Amino acid sequence: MDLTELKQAVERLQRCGGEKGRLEGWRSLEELADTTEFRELLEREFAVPPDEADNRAGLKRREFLQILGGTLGLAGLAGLAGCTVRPRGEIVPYVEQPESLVPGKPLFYATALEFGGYGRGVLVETHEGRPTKVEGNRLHPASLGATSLFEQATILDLYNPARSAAVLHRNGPGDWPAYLQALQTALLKLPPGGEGLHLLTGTITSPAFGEQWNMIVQRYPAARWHRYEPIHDDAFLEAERGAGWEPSEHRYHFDRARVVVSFGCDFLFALPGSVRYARELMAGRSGERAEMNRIYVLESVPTLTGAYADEREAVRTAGPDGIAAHAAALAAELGVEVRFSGTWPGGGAAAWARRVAADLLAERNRNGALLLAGGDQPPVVHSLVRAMNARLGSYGDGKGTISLLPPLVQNRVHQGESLAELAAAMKAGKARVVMMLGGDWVQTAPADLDFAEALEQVPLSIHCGLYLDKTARRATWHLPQAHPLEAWGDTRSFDGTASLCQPMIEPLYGGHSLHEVLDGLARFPGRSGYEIIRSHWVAPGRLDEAAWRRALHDGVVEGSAPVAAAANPGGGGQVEVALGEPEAGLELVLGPDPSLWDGRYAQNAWLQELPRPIHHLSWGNAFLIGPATGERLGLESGEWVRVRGGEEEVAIEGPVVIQPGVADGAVGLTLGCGLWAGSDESPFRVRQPTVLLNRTEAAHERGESGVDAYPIRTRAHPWRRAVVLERTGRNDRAVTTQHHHLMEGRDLLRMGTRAELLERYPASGNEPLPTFYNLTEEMNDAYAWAMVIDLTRCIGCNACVVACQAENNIPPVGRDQVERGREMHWIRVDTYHFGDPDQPEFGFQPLACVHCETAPCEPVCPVEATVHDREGLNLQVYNRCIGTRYCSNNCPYKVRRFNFFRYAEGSAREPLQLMANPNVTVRARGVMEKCTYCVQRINAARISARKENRLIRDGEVIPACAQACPTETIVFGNRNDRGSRVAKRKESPFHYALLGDRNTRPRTTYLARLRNPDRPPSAT
Amino acid sequence: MAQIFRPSSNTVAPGVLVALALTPLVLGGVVWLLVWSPYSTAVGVPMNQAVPFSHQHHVGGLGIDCRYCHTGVETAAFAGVPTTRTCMTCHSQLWTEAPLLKPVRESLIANEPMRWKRVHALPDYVYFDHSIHVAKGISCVSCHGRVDRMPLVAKQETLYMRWCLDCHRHPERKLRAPGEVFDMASRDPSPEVGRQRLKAYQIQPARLLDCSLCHR
Repeated sequence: MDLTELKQAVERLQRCGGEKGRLEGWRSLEELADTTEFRELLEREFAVPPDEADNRAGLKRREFLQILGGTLGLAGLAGLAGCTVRPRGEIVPYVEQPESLVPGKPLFYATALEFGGYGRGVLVETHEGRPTKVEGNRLHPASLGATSLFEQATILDLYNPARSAAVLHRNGPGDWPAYLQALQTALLKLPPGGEGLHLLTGTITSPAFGEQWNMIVQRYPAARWHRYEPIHDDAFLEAERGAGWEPSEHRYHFDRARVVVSFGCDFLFALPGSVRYARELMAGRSGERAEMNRIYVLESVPTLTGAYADEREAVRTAGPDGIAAHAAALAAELGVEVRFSGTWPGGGAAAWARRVAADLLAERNRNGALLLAGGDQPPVVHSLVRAMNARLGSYGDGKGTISLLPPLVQNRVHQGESLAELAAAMKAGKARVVMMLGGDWVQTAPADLDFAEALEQVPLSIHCGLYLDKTARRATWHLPQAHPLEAWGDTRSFDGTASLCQPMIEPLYGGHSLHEVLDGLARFPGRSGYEIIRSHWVAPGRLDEAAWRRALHDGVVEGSAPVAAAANPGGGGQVEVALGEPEAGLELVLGPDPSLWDGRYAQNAWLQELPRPIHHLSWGNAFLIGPATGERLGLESGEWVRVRGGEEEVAIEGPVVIQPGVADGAVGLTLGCGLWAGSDESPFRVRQPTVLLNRTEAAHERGESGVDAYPIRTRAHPWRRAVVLERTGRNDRAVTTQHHHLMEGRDLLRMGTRAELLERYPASGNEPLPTFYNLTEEMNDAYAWAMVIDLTRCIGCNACVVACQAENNIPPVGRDQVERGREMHWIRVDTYHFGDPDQPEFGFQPLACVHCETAPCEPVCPVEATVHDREGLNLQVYNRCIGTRYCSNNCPYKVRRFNFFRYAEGSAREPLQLMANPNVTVRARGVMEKCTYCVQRINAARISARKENRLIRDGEVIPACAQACPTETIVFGNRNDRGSRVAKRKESPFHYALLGDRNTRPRTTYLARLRNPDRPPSAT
Repeated sequence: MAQIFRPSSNTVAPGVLVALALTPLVLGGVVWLLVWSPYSTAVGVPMNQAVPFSHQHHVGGLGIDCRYCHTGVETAAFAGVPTTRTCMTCHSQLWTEAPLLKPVRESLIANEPMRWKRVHALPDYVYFDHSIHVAKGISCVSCHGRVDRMPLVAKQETLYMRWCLDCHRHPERKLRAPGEVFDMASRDPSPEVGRQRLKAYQIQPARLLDCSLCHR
């Protein structure tokens, strides 16, 4: 898009008084500007990559005839092949049937998966011993039956053919006994106290792990345990130390909050308790209640929380108008003693603070204040937030919005210092044995630590991890790690509740759990994982046999949550704030990737391909800058830049994407992209790579997996640093699905305050227009399946997309196919922007097939491959489909997906074939597919109901997307049942049908997105 | 110049025309025969197994109930094939030395499962559920035939979709009383009784023709 076009668009927006901007959203700046390029894309349905756009009509007549002839010949051969009799296969029964297993019926086991070291309870669906799907555990406090996208995607990690499968010794072949011997020899050579023995891990909450470490310390008192997690909260620890607070961890209570103010804290996504927090927050935000809570967010680069906020300010970190300045100004307004050295907060910050302070202090919001500081904010923000929370009475268990828990993590240290200490010991040659468990520190350590070089100085370094990453290559020994679904373990959740983790399957690629590897330091040859976990838990004062079994069954250890401190900790007097001068240059803002986190999921093709929330980048990241910055620098989306940190030589390169909502002067970049730790260099490639593996690997080899941000991340600047931008001259767009599946139409996403929405849409629009279809005759069944999506609840987290992918055997397609608009996700989460491109409001809209009653796809199919059933489902019959794609062409919602190639090939082969859901057909090439409302789950429920001669109860059928959703955004059920949740939601005044004026009568309908801003609607 | 066509051409030409007209018909007939022949349907072709298990002996002779071995039939989609342990409940006492049963004993000793050749195979995109059919009065005999008279099991029906639909269109023709489902000698009901049973089982025939019932 041209800059002048953008300028014109913004001017037009301002001229028409904000009507278009405020109440009608736009997906991207190109749409807003209505460029010719955009119109063409809208008409073409599928994107054509730029390099091919020119020779679209390049096929000559002769070539066409040649291909036609060849095709006919091949078709003839294929016809002959069809005459052979299909092989019938074998039935292989068990020798002895495991108890409670009925072949063909899934079993569910409770366990917990860790996110950043903290557990989230899950139930794992297994079919004859194969784990196929992860669901949330209703009994677990961090889950309440929901999951995030990471838990959903872990099933692919389990089967991932890229996983490490062999012990490596100096990057060559090794074996487990030889490793044990080498370890014992090295341990014997240690000095008596054990000086030189170092352990390096990520965040660990496992109580058994702590006990194991205590045993090691008894034997080697001088042994050291270092901890480093790339996404850390060192700043909070610095604030805590500086002010001498009692060590504690926060457990927030969003259901008690009336006003939430977040200073750069992405609490809906990035905290260990986020899945639970999102649910709690919705208690105060459903459309039925007139009183809603209010969320203020300050941040530099849009995150999920910022996009969801009622009032979001895009501001920089430092300076008189930065996040810290806003926090200081608010603290001063609230009566906290703040001493400014140097500059005072700017006018904008002061005005904002007055408004928010009035809201916080209002009588209706008494005892309902909750202020949060992001882990990437400087210590002063944490101090200010603590002081303000104390002042507003937010602390205290029972009724406060924040409980202070005793520290849950083992080895609570300043992680940056801890890793630096290890690097120094290694460089000095003092580290003799270094055991690195479950991480890739050569990749993720701050660049100025020279961790890789330091590692060379260690005589015996041991790495245990899931993949052959950079640390695995440089360690003396690499040991394959057993996946969390293959090993015994234990963990604590965000509120301290302990869970036991049990294996679902024998290790597929060999491997040992971190517990087992660690045990090698304490005894020879070490205990099994089961012995370690059981001996810790089945002990006097902990669990007896019955309680152990109960804990395994339920997935939680009852009564294991620690007691929170009751008293108000106090804010500790005066806070000194040095704001610094306004900065003229650019500021690089680093943060976790919404799909790959710190890079630990970089091997996961589902997560790589998943369009990231907001900008919908897929297979990689980009430098995000705001429209104002882009205009000032003359940069357009797709231009490549070199980003250099100050005077240093280190620079990273990548494409720029202009994203509305990025603060002026900020350059956003996520960690975790651009990594490849696969087995490419390995001479021990045990298995042939599958199609799936190729897709991740090929994207990386062509430098198309995004920008690796780690080289520019240093100890002093883990999150922010001043940078210089240089053009490289390359122009190559980053792959984004923002423009795919566009719907031309009005009122796609209704968003506004209660009053605005009721005024603008007085009739709820539930009354359908007349139709010629005889619907009563066709669909008069007891069931009328329907779905209502409450947009007020949607936080855009993508958990539904991955859950759908796992449930319905949806294959990833690879970067080049995504670029052509051929991603296969049955459900997508569209992002709409409203208002001023520099300070926009955001709206998310999950959209899958809406199952129209008068479906436009059906009459155009020449072979009746898409038809209706009596319960209102719009079916796709794969075996009838001949791939004309007329249906997709005629679909106004653009929710149908076509298998242009044999995308599912990988999932039909070992080992990924084990992962497939046996109750869903794997689709072939040339076949159209789309959301089925999880018809396999409806059928399962119907069969069990029919056997008992009763109707399916409300809530008995939950589609995968609804089940994963942390906020209960999606509700599915029988519309004919007046008492069902679906029927009740349909009575809401905010209920509407997407493109209802087309009279497609969709079964999936929406509730408008309600917002609760304090300020009057901005006229942009 | 000599004539190209001799007088005999007058006889050959109509013959050729007739042959041309008939060729598609004959070819179609051949394909039709092939599709419906046992070569393609495997109907009535007994399958050789590693252990020549006789249903005739076990069901017809000894009167063992279907569910003794096919344990999943009332609860799961898959009826289930007996485990080695199930065979050995009796055969650890009877015919303990029989050479015919050697593979079964070896399976138990080596903990290696038996491998049976599939007789009834549906395509992967069809989701048939035994439990609901059994619960709604469809007898084993209706699809599997008189297994109690088969020394080696052979397919009784084509399992083509047309055959499925024949019954899904008129389920009342096949419904048994609840107690007769596993009775090999039970017979199809009279039209009157069939209609009564349809009501008793609360079956809605219209719903039985939806694609989504069997295809997902």
